[in-house]
Amino acid sequence: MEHVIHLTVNGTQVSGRVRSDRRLVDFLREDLELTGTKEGCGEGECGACTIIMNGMAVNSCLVLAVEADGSEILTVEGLARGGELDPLQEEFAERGAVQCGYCTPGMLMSAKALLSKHPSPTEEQVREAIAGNLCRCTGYKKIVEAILAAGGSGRA
Amino acid sequence: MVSFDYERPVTLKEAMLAASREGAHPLAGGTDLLVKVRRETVSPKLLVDLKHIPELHGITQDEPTFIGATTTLNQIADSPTVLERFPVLAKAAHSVGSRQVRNRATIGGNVANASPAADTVPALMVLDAQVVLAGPGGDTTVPVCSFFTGPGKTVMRHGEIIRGFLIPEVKGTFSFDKVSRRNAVDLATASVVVFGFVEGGDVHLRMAAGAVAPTPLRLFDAERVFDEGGPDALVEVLDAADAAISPIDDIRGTAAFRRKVVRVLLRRGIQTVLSSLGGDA
Repeated sequence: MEHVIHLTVNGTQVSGRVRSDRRLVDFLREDLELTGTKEGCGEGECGACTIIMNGMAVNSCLVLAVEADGSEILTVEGLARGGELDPLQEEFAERGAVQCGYCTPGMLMSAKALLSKHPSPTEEQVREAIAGNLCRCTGYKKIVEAILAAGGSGRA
Repeated sequence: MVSFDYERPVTLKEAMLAASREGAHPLAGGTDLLVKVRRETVSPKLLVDLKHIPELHGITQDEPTFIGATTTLNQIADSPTVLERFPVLAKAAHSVGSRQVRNRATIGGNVANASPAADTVPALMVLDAQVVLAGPGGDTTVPVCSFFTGPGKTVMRHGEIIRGFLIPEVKGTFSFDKVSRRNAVDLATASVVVFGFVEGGDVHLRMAAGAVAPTPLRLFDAERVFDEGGPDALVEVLDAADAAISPIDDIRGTAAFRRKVVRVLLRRGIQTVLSSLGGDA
């Protein structure tokens, strides 16, 4: 069964025709060509596909595209505005919080969801927010530092 | 993934009609179900999305408290009502998966999925919660303690939908403890909930365990042993719990390890609860 869906992605209204079994991650990557969002495990374990849906971090591999009908989506492509990187992206680059980079979009989106609710989080809140994002390079220390810095509470 | 249809009813009536169709399966957060569908361990013809039905969502201030089936685990973990009345349930909900998973996963889904390791279930069991089922013949209620019949199996019949959970008022102290290989995004190797309360001058305990039997278990026998012997009967209480569980070997731990973990967690939980109730163990 095909469905016509309408949603807002990175501030732009988009529509699409999707089958019931199409996942949001595939719709974003293949139909909208927003390949910043990565797929890792496909089972909600690794967090690589994290996006923000209606203000909340979710695994886009565990959401059907049709379930996202009517929702507001933010992907890593929507973080920079007017050519200006988001403070999180600035800090990730500045502090070497990126190694292979595969987990980075998901890390950024989990961090973005956290900072939207808690602009100056504690380290514990940061670690809890990214507990569902695996980094195989184990760059966690730099990632936590970058998020704290973007929240204005990092050690300079 | 086997192809299926998808419907998004906005009333319970529409949802029940859809859910009664052949091959229909209710969909809540999808964090368990969509993985099973992709692995083809569940092959629905139709997913009935319950997330847009207002009466299935939210937490009421009534007595008993009602928690709608599609209330997410993060909403439960952060709810002032739950934190005040049933902190053990908030803690159990918060222990599931990751922030991303808890933003989607629902309490109804956690229960309907019927995993032996479902984190919210031991908490619901010691709270004497009831499952409210909506079915073709009207609503029925089933105690959470008698809802599960095996791994992935419950007393629910095709066409029935979990409306939510009724939790009576309780006054007492809780402990929740879960052992897993890592803190986030892992299933429990074993989990234990202890609830203690004073009635008629005597301390009573309710206890439940997860991931150590085909279903989460309320440890009624161990409770009776405590009622009869009190804190001095701690070893006998642990023995009764040990006799009730039937853990298995799997990638998260051996059966023997789980038995030891349950004894340790129970002893710790009972001591914590008794000391905060002013008794001692």
